[in-house]
Amino acid sequence: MTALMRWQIPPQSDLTWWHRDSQTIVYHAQSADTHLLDLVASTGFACFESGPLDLAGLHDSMAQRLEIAADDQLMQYARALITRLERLGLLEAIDG
Amino acid sequence: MKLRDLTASESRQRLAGAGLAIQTGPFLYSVRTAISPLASTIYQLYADFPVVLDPTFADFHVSVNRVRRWPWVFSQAVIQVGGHGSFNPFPTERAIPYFEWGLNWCVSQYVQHHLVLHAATLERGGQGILLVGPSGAGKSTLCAALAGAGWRLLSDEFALVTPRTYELTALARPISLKNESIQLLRNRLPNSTFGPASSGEPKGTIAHLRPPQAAVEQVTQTARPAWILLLDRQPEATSCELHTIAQAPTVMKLIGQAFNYCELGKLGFATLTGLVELCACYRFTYSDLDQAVQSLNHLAASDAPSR
Repeated sequence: MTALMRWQIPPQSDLTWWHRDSQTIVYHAQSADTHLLDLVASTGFACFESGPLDLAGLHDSMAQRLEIAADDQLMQYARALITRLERLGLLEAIDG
Repeated sequence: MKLRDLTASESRQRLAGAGLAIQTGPFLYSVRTAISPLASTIYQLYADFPVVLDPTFADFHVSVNRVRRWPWVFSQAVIQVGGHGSFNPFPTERAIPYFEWGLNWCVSQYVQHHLVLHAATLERGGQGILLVGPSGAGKSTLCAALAGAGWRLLSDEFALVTPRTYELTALARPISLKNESIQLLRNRLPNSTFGPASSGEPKGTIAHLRPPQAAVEQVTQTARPAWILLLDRQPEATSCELHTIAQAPTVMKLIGQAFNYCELGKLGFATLTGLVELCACYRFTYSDLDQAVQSLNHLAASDAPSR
């Protein structure tokens, strides 16, 4: 993972979001996989709905949406979240 | 026409010949068997069910008949479902549980117009309850006890959830009981009819309880889902406890109990989340059956969701 990398929700993704209490379920039609996300993870994933982000962009967006400090702990979380979502096929790395 | 309108002999002859079509909820099964003990048990357990003598159509074709296979000393039988003949043979004396298993297999493999969940379902006051849990959690035992205590049996095996309306469709077939539950329910429901016990099954001894006549007669009435209970039988528990659980983890739990969630795609997701939105969701810890029935009667009386 480098500072130049960006990620996006694959354009062909057909996602259905279902929010209850502080939890979110995302249904990914292409894989028929269903993912349960907590508030922080779903907030982070939702940041990509408005377009591609790099790690710093995700870090800032999450801090803003969650109204928490943009500190090292959040940066570590954002990095891990990208890795996890990419592994699940919910994000893809893009050039530039 | 009900099966009991035939004599036992007529029923047996038809089962051994052209077959007998038995209506169980929305499904018409064409059944054939020349195994007399199985034919007798079908007559006993399905007495209240509508039958069609010369059907031109059936949803599923199920036959159970003897086969000659090694070792020759054992009488063996095989079940065929719609010409699907790749099931392993089994000792003929275990034909009854295998027959019931075959009927379940049809629903679990072929039904796509409902979301099919592995759950016992009942209804009271128009409101449906789903009892969910792994094998051995006591679904069928609790289901049989509730069916004997004023709840209407929908199914001891399946929740058939209709997409978009989320209504529960009834199936009301015999309830499969295992091991110590058989005697427990015999004592509890002395006027009910039980099929013969079949021992040596992978899950122990199995016997089937004939569904209450009212459940069979009202099988076309759907129920509005109101409660989902994840069963947690704790032999050492001294009281019943209902703990409210969040809806999102309940959805994830139910996905694991669904037979056709993936096949239904987005419709499956919409149906499952819609079902859970309608329901109060609980983890139900219990040990004593009397307490459990009492607790759920109380739940039905006091916690009917106003939707």
